[in-house]
Amino acid sequence: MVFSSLIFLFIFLVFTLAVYYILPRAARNAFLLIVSLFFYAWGEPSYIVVMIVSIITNYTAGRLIAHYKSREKTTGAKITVAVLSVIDIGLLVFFKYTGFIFDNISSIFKISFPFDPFIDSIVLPIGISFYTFQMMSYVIDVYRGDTEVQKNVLDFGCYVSLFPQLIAGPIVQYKTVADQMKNRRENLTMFAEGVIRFVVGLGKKVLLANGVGIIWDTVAGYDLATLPVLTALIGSVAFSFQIYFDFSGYSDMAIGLGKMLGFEFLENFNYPYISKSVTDFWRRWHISLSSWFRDYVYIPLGGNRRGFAKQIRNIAIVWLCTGIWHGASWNFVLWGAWFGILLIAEKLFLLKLLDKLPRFVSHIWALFCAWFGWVIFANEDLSRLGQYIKALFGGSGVFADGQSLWLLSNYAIIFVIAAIASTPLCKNLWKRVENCSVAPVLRVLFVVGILVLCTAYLVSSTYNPFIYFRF
Amino acid sequence: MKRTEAIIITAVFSLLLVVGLVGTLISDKPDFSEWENRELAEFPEASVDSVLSGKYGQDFEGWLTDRFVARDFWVKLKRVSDSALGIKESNGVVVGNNALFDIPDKVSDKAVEKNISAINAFQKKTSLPTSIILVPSTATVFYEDAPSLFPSNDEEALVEDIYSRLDNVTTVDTLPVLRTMSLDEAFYKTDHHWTSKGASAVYSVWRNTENTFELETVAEDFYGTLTSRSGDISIKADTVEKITSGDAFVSCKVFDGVNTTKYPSMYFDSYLGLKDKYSYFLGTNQPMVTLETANDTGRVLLMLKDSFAHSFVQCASTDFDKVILIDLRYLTSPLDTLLDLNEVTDVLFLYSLENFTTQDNMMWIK
Repeated sequence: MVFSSLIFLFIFLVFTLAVYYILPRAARNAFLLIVSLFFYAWGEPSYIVVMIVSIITNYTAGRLIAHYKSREKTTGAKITVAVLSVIDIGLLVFFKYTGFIFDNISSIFKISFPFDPFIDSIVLPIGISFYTFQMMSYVIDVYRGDTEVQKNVLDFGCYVSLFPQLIAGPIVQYKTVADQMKNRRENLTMFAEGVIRFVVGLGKKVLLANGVGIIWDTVAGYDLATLPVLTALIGSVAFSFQIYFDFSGYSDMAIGLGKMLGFEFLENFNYPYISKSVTDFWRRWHISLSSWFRDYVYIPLGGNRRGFAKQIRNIAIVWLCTGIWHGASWNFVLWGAWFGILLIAEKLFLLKLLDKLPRFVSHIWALFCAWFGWVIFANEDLSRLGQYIKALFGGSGVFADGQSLWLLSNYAIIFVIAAIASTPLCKNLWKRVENCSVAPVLRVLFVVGILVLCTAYLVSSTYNPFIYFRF
Repeated sequence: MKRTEAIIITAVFSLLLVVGLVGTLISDKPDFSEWENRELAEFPEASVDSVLSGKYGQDFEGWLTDRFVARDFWVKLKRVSDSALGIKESNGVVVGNNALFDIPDKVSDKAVEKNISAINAFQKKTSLPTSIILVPSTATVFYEDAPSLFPSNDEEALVEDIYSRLDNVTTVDTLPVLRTMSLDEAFYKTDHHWTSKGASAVYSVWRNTENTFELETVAEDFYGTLTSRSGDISIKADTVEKITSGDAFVSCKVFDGVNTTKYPSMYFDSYLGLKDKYSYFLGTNQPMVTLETANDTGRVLLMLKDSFAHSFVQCASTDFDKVILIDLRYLTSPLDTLLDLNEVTDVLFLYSLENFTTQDNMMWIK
C-alpha cells in the first residue's frame, strides 16, 4: 500500500488510528505489527514470508550475540554477526541482483543458463533494501554494545515492519528508537504536528511530484534522436524536482505518521537543492542512507584515519555500494561513481576552491552535479542514457521547437512553485507569522486545503474517458 | 502549538477522513459514468489466487477510486486546480478561445508516403475521376482562437505538399471557405469533428455549386469527445444541425463486416439521447455503408473516408443515385471483393488531415 492512495487515507489510516488509541498501551506495539504486516501484504502478499523470516533471523541473532557477550565469548558474538550479515546481504543480493548478475554473465560470455526462467521469476520484495539495512544496524549495534538487545520479538517485529517507514525509509536505526519502542508518550500536540507534517508530505507527493512527473513522462516518451536541447533540459529538470518531492514527501509523511503514533524519527532531507557543494548535498539528501553507510561501511573500513590513500579507497567503496543500492542496473553504478569521483575531487582540492568563490558559483556547481546525476539516474538503459546526454548537448541540432515552448508555457507555474518549495523560503516566511493571531487559522486552512486538493487528484487518477468514438 | 489548536487540527483531519469513508459507504454509486462514457469498476470478488497475486488489492483500489463519494466533483476540482496552475493541457486537449483544441499526433512520413502512393495507384488502375478533401484541424483553420504556442503541425504546408504529390486527382482547398465562417459554425467547440454547415460549405466548393443547403437544429446539448477527454466543462454545449435535403433519400444499408442491415434513414435519432451525438450522422464507424436515393443522374460516388464524411454525406445524397462509403480501417479483405467498381462514376477520398498523416490503411484498395 502507498500513502498517496485513497485506501490508505480513508480506510487504513482511519481504522489504524482509531483502534490504536482505543487499545491500552501494552497492546499497541503488537497491533502496529499486525496492521503493518497487512499494509505490507496488501500489494504483495507472498513476499511477506521473506520479511517475517528476516525478522525472526535477525531477532535470534541479536539474542545470540547478547548471550555470547554476557558470557564474554567475543568469538561467538563475532561469528554470529558475520554470519548474520552474510545472510542479510545474501538475501538482498539474491532478490535484487541475481537477474542483473546473470544477465551480465550471459551477455559477456554469450551463454545461457538452464535456470534462466527461474531467475526471471524473481521479483524484488518491496522495501527489502530498507528493512535489511534497518535490521543490520540493529544486530551490529547490539554487537558493538551501542544498544540494548530487544528481547520481545513482537516489539522487534514492530520496529522493522512499522508501516510509516517500511517501504521507502527513512532508514531508522534501531538505537534511535529503542527507547521509544517501550516508553513513548503519545500526546495531542505531537499528533497535530504529525498531521501537519503528513499533509505537507502528501502535498509534495501528490501535487508537486506527480505534477512535474507528467512532464518527465512526456519528454521521456519523445524520440530522443530529434529531442531539442530545451525539451531535454525541461525533462531532466522536471525529473530532478520529481525525485526530490517524491522522496522527501514520502519521508515527511513517514515522520508525520510516526508522530501521530508517538514516534520521533530523524530527519531525512534538509533542502538539498540549496547546497553549496556536492559534499554539502549529500549531507542534505537521504541523510539516513548516508549515515548508514558512514556508520556501517566507511568508518569500519577505517574512514579517514588510516592515511589518505585508504580514505580515497573507502570513499570509492561507499559510493559504488550507494550506487548499486539504488537499483540493479549499470546506470546506478555510474551514478554512484559520478558522486564518488566528485566527492573525492572536492576532498582533494575543490572544496577549498569553492569556498573562495562567490556563493552563487558554488551553488550552481552543486546544482549542476546533482542535476547531471539525475540524468544518469533517470535513464536506466545505457544507450538511452547516451542518447539523452547527446540531446542535452545539442545532438538533434535544434535548440527549441514548438513542443518545447508549449511545455514551458504549460508548466511554467508549477516549475516556479517547485523551485520555491525546494528552498526554505516558505518556512522562513512562516516563522514571521507563526506567532500572529491568525497563524492557527492558517494552519487549519492549510491542512484542509491540501487534503481536499490531494483527494481530488487521487480520485481523478482513474479519470479515464473511453473514446471509442474518437474518429 | 496551543492545546486548543492541536484539538482543532486533530478533529478537522479526522473528520475529513471519516466523512470521506462514511460518505463513500452510504452514497449512491452509479455503475456507469456518462461523462467518461464507460462502466465504472466493479467490486472485486476475492479468491485465493487473486488475493495472493495482489490483483485483489489493485482491483479494490480501482473500485474505491471509481466509486469514491462525489467523484464528479473531485474530477472537476482537479481541472479547476490544474487551470489555476496554468496547465492548459489535459489528456492532449487544450482550452482556447471559447473552444477545445485537440493536439494533433506527430505526422508519420511513412504513412503519408504510403497513402499517397496508394491513391495514385488506385486512380491509375480505375481511371475514374478522383478527388481528395483533407480537413485540417480546428487549430489550423482557426489558429487565432487557439492558445498561444499551441503545438500544431504546419498543416497548411502539409496539405499543399500532399496535394502536389497526387497525380490526376482533383484537390480541394478547404481553408478559404471554412475561414469565412466562425469556429463554432464550421466545427464543434467540444468535439473534433466539423459541423453540417462546415461540411456543406466544403461540399459546394468541391461540386463547384452555390451553397444552398438549409439547416435544422436537432440537438442543443452536445458535449463531444474533447469535453470527455479533457474533463473541462468551461466550454458550453454545442448545437447539432442536420441538412434538410429533400425527399430523394431511399435507404441506408450498413454492412458491419458480417451482416447487412437496412435502415430507413441516414440519421440515427437514438444517438441524440446519448452523449455521443455526432453518431446521429450515419451511426458509428462501419466498414461499408451504402446510401441509395431516388435521384436519376446516373452517377455513383465511392467515398473512401473517416468519420468526417458522416456529416458531409448528407449533401452527397442530394446529387448522386448512390453513395458507397468505405472505412478502410475496418476492412478485412480487398475493396473489389466488396463492391463492383464498374458501377462507380466518381471517387472521393475524404479524411481529416490528422488521420491521413498518422495512419495507413490503404492497402485494401490496391
